Amino acid sequence: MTGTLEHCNIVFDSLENGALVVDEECTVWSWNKWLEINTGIASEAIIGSNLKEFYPELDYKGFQRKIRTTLRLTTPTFYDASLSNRFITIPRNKVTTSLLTNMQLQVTISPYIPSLKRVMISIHDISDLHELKMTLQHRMAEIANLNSVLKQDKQIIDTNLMIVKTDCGCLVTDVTKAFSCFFGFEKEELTGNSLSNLFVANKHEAEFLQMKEVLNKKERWSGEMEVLKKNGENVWMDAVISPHLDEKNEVISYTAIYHDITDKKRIELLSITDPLTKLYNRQKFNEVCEQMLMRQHWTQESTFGLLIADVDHFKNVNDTYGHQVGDTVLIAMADTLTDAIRTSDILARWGGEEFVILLPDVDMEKATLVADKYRQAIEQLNIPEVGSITASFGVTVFSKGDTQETMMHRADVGLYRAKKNGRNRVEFN
Amino acid sequence: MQNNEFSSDHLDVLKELMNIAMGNATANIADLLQAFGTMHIPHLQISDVDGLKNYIKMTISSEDEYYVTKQLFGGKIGGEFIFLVNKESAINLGNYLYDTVKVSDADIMDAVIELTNILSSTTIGRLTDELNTKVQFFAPYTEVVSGDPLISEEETLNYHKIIIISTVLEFQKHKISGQIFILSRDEMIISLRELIDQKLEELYS
Amino acid sequence: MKILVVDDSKLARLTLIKTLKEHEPSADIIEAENGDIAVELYKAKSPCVVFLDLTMPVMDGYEALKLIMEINPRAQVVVVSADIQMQAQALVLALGAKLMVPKPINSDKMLAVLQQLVF
Repeated sequence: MTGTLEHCNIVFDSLENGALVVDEECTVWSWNKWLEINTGIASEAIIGSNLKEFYPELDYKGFQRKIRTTLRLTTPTFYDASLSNRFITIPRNKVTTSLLTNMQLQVTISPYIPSLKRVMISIHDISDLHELKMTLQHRMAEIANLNSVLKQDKQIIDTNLMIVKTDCGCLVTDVTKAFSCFFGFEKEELTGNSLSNLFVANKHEAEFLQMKEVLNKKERWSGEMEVLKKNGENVWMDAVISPHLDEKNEVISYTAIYHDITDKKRIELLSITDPLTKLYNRQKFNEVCEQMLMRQHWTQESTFGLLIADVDHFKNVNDTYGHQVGDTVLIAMADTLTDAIRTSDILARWGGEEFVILLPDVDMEKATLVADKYRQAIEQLNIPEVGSITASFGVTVFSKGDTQETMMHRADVGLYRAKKNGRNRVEFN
Repeated sequence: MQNNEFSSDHLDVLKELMNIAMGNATANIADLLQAFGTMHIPHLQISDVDGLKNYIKMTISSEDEYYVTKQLFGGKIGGEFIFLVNKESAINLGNYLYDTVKVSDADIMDAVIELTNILSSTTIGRLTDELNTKVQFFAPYTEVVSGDPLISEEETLNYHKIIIISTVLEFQKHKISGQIFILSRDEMIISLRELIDQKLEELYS
Repeated sequence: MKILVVDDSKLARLTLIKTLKEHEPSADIIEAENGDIAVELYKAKSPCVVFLDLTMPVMDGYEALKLIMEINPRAQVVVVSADIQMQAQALVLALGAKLMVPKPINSDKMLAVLQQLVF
């Protein structure tokens, strides 16, 4: 028996973990070398004494209950090792971190000599593991926190910003609530569809084609575009479309952010539009004309022309049929010219019955030819009550040193000559 | 028939043995809690990972917070013993064992571990006794989870077949109830079947 | 001698019948797999002994015990259950059970039971 016990002590002492034997009353019967070293309590001092004398702070009610369970069921019982340490306190020697100043222990109470109500308690230092767990939990909490902030932000974005995500083939993958609400679509109607099919008013417009070109070059595009809501209403959007590229520089997806600028556009349009004819007003014409004059590349063969058209005998129309019919004539004139002019021409109402047109990329001869075409178009007009009308045209082209005034003056002189030479004709000056 | 397939006889044996094992466990817990436990019929199921997930989804509410204690056992048959109590039950248990009305988190954890200890050792102990084998228990680990994340994707990714033995522990007096899951898998199911076959032979002889 | 064996587990019934036959080879055995069927069979066949499990689907043993005792207050019911709590035993005895035996049943337990019954 003594030999067996001695052998046990040798085994205990060679263990790389703490091992002690206590009975139901917490009297210590064995205390191994690991415990001696780590607690500073010599086995001679503690063996035969009660654990309570050395560790009065323990919860002995729970401890003794565990011992009893161990003995009764002859099965190991355990302390929870996941929170704070619940068994004896053993200081830890780690200096490089202060997360744990005492060891985190995994404590197992096993039946030892059930007949003597003795159990063996083995103690494993799991501080490193616990430290790792604490660090991980801390990080997880940080991530959870960030995620909640992100979620909040996402919600704000979702309800306030109009954003569309598409795949590389421009098919919609996701839209924000703000977007679907504004355009009156359900999200399901949009996903999987091509955005341009759904709402771009004119897919062949220069702006749209230019956008396609930029995006094809895998670059970011920004600009204004006129688009349609589901109910057909026209709206103006300020859009930024960015491609997302993978590491091989291939487009994975696009993100488009829209901003409603319809009101701004409306005001802008009002300020440059003649209310009666819906043509550009004089102010806008002046602006465009200035830009035209600033361009440096005009030559004698390819310059730009300026044309003034004046309705013949307009005073008579007004006097005979009244102002309302007069207005009808002006509107008819405006519409006819709008249809007749080339896409690059700029048409505006100068005032009264006078219209002006800027003609890019013409020479003297071409300007006259173009003007005559417009004259013929007006000649063809048939206006209710009034019947046919005619207009006289004064045309000029830009030459070096010209200002708007000098050009206007020359065209005016041309117009005067056309009137004098019998009206319904074009005079170049 | 594959050699890890269970006949209805196998399931019946296991169910009856689990019933006996739970009787033991309930009596032991009844001692600890000084109360009477209501016994429930065990549920047995052999399924894949999805089946386990569905079963868990069915038995626990995804809104509640749970104390989950997992304990591994090994030997000729091995697996995982899981005891799941909702927060309210866990607090009631902690209050009772620590004889207080305001129990600390650490006390709750320890109380849950203590209960699981008794539960696992008596149920698995009795179950394996009846099957003439022995198992070793490993240190349990408790964590608080809410709702679903009882099993994570990577934890079960490689298991083809899982046996679920599940039942309810209920002590109405203290308002403590919990769900027990004993899970074993693949080759362990084959061992289990062999043990049951031996048991059946013994019974039919 | 008619004996009714009630258990939802086929294995449990089998074990019980096997140990029973060791001592009473001539016994006429009737089986039921839940309390509901047990009560019906009790009414129809009036067995002299009932071996009754507690945890069963449809109708549990407590309920069946109550109903059987109502049919025949002198019925001899032996509860065979995995529930080994003192309180469970007290409860079934109060409900009128003659005896309560913990599962699993074996030859010795069966002999002790049979010695206490009246045939």
